[in-house]
Amino acid sequence: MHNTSKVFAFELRSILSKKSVKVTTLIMAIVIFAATTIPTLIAVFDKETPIDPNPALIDIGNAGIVITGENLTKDELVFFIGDDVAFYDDESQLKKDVEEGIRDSGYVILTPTSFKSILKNKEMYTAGPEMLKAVLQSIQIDKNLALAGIDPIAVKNASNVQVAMSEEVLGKDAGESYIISYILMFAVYMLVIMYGSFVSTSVAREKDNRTMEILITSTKPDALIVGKVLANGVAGLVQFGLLITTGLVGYLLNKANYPEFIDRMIFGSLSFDAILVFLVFTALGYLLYLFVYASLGSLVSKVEDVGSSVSIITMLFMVAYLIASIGMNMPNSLMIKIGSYVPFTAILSMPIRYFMTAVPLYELVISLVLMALTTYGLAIVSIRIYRLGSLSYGNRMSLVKAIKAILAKS
Amino acid sequence: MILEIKGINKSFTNKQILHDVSFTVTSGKAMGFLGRNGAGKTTTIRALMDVFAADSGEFLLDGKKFEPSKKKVGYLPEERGLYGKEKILSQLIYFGTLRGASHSEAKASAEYWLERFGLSYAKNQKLETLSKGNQQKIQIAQALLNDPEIIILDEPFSGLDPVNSQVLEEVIVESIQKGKLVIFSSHQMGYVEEFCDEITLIDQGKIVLSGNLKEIKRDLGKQRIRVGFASDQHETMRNKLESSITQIKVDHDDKSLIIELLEGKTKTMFLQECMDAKIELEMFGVYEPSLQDIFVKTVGDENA
Repeated sequence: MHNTSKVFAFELRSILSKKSVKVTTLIMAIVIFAATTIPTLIAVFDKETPIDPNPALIDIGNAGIVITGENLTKDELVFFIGDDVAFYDDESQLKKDVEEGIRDSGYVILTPTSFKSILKNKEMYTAGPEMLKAVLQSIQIDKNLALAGIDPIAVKNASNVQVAMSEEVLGKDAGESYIISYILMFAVYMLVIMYGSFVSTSVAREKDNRTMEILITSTKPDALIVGKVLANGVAGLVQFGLLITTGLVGYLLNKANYPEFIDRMIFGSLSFDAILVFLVFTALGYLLYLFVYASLGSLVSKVEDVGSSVSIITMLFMVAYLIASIGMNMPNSLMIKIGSYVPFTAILSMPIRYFMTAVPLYELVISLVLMALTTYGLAIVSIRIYRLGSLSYGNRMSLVKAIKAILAKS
Repeated sequence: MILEIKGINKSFTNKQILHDVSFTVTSGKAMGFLGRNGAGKTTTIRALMDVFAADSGEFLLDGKKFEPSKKKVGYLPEERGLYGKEKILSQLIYFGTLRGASHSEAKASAEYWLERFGLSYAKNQKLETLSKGNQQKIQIAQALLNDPEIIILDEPFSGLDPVNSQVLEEVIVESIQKGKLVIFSSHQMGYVEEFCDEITLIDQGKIVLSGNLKEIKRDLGKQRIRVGFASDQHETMRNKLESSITQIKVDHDDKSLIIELLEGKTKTMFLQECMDAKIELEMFGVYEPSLQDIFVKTVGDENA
């Protein structure tokens, strides 16, 4: 394994000195740092916003209103929505102002319980009509109550009941773990996809530029593939570590402006054992995927064919991501439990389960042993595929064909 | 050292590429492994280097199984390739250390060969910044790193200009003089004729000729003589010879006519018959075939 360290050192230096890696890391670090400052920016922005002098009013925006019926008065509306809205006498003028952008929206109230909205462009979520609907409902309910001889204010007072609630979670709180689980799952997803692609491209490039023959006559294939996989793995972890550190520094600098519930959702479930479970499963699973990516890279002769060669493992990893994403909402479901045992999906599923719910130690151990054995087995198979694929130039060799050839040889 | 290649057979997808390939290489003698494109030179060399296993046959070094990983072997593959985006010195050091040298040894060796090939100035440049010819020299330098005992060069002259070919020739001759075992393949006869001690010719995966070049030349030239006339008379004199003298076969190259004496006909008899037929010769001498002639005669003239 002496040459493994030489391959590792050469490959790691080569990856880390790449301009593209440096630039990508810098851009991602800037984006992450900027994201951590969002609460501070919101706080600064909020300070500049004048405080609403009458918070009880319902804001329907910069709207214009035409009242056509007789059973609703302007004053009744103003009581709820304030006098910032403009009242028009005819619909055509209102339409013209909305068209020209003088008003954001317009409402033609036909009866106390029906109205028409006039919008220049309808967005996905437009709150104004719903607000006005609520206002008209409220006015009509009050009128109905008054007609029945019931004091509307008394009804409102009677309806205003606050129930105090507290809870004691004996295990883990999935709500508190949600954000950190999602962030880490996404980070691992990016790590595997990015560095999986790097390692397969790196192997394919050695075939493409014909360095492979010199390499395999200079040292053993296991030193080459293990060194290369470890170098890409470490490079990914270095980049990942730098980005996490940037995020942490950003968080610490802006901590004062973070709402307490966000703090709780990020760090609420972070404990030493949770971090350990995450790191161990990520490292092993990451290694497992990198070996597969490296061997698939050796089956093609040209760098541009790498995408099609690795699509099978990328799809498998996307399934793992999907199971973990769905599992985040149902951490006790059978699907994520099974996913946390299967080595290809356990990389994401087990840490997610551990963050969000209580996982017995024996389950962790079984999953870990299965993953370690699979990683070892795949490393052996990958070395053979790499050796076989490393010198098969020409058409892309399929994975099935490569495995058949290995079985025939052994 | 004696390297024996014995009975090597190799097939790819049911097509047999090598047929019982056997020849011997001795250290201290330049062995040219010659053949047309696609004759099987690279397949033989790759099997020798254990890039892939031969279906049958064996490679023996001094009577024992030859294992390239256990010897100091310098190898220049036919498929050229190094890392285009890596600095030249650092990748040469990398290849040197992979083959067992310490970092300082590999560095010293890499710097020596860069100096020797006149490329010291480029050691900290990326390989892709060099011209193709200079990249080829870096490829050769990687094969010569760490002072290998055995040097195997697959088509080392292809891509080199005459000046660089001369430099490579000097390096090969020097290595041979140091007692190293050197095999190089080529389909360019002109480059290798001057310094080949031995040749092995392969055609369609079969060895068609192998041995000492001087002896081969002597054997092939034994019953042949050169006769010269004024250059504009070659065709006329050829017809005259063919009509006047029996038991000869007349051929020619750009220098003279080449007469093959058939069925026990001696040079004296030929001369006597020329005099009897009043044929005046301007030149009469021993014919020694060039390597190109041997090659063409043995494997045909396509792609030669």
